[in-house]
Amino acid sequence: MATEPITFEIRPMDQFIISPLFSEGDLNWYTFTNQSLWMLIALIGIILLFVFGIRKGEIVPGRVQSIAEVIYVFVHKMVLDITGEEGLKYFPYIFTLFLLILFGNVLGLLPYSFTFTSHIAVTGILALFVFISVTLLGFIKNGLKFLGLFWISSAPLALRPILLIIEVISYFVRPISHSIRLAGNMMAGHAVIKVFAGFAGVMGLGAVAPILAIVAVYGLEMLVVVIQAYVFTILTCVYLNDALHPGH
Amino acid sequence: MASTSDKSSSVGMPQLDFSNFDNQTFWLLIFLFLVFVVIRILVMPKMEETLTNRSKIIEEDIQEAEDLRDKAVEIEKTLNYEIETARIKANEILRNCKEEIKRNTKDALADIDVKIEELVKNSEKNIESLKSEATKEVNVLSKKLAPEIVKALIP
Repeated sequence: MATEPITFEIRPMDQFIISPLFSEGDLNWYTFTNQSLWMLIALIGIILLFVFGIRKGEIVPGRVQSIAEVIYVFVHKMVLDITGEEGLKYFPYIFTLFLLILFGNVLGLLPYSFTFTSHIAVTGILALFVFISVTLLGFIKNGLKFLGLFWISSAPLALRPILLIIEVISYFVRPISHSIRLAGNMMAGHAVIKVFAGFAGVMGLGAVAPILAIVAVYGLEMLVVVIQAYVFTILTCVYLNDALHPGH
Repeated sequence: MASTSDKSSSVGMPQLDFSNFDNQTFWLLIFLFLVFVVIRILVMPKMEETLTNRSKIIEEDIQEAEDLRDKAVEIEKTLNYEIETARIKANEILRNCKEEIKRNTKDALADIDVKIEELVKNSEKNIESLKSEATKEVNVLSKKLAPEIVKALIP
């Protein structure tokens, strides 16, 4: 208590700072950063699980192969259920998105790691990728009939113009909500953990309480991390389904 | 403090520091492409092969099990049929035996009756002859004894 001016400063957002890894100074567009490093680790993780894990292709799968198969079949079934037979053509793209997000999220839970899915730039690019390709696909597959997505023919005629406005707005809000949902969830959880950790750092013995809170939040985050990857993927499937069958 | 609060954290949220968006986009696209290539070339063919192999084997096993079950049902049917015919045959044999036994018993009883009758007849004849002999002897003896008795009575 005597030393009143404790430098009590929690910087929960510092964990998201992108900095160059192998070079000093400015960040150019090609600089390898801590974010790139964790993308690389995610890629390595994907290769370890999905290439080396299923290398033997056993009929009765072992542990690692089971995990890989469960994830694969899960996403495959999701695409099939939501978009139908013709959506399966786009399964590799959706599976790519799912795996990169899932591994980014899960690896982000490691202490001292960097969560690249917490950056709006990353999720924004992913969401834009989905938005642009789904929109193009809708026009290529259905021509101008794709615009029927906004003209709800099952609604009363008087309501349709209003619904048209609502539908158009909601369509263009999609990439924003799609990306901010993921980045926001990732950022919030990590920031909360960081804040509690900051409390624990200055509380001495009383640090037990924030540490317990960290454990609780961490457990919650383990759920959120997987669910957000799932949500991103399932929304991608829903959007794809809209493009493939705009008439509902 | 001055070193950390420059540039990146001056925004408050590093996510909103637009100066490095080009860098993030570049690396994201590279790794997105790499993950896609890995999935398309290395993961999917192997995974599909493994999964179809498994489902094929499972299907074959189920088919085999169904065949075996059908076979078992057939075997059971023939077994039941054989048991049924065997039972009918056994019943027939049993009935035949019973009838034979009955017939045999009747025959034997009839035989014995005849024999017994014969024996009775013979015995009656014997008794008759013995009787007549006995009366003859009694006559002879009484003729012999009569003078003796008289002698004894008349002293």
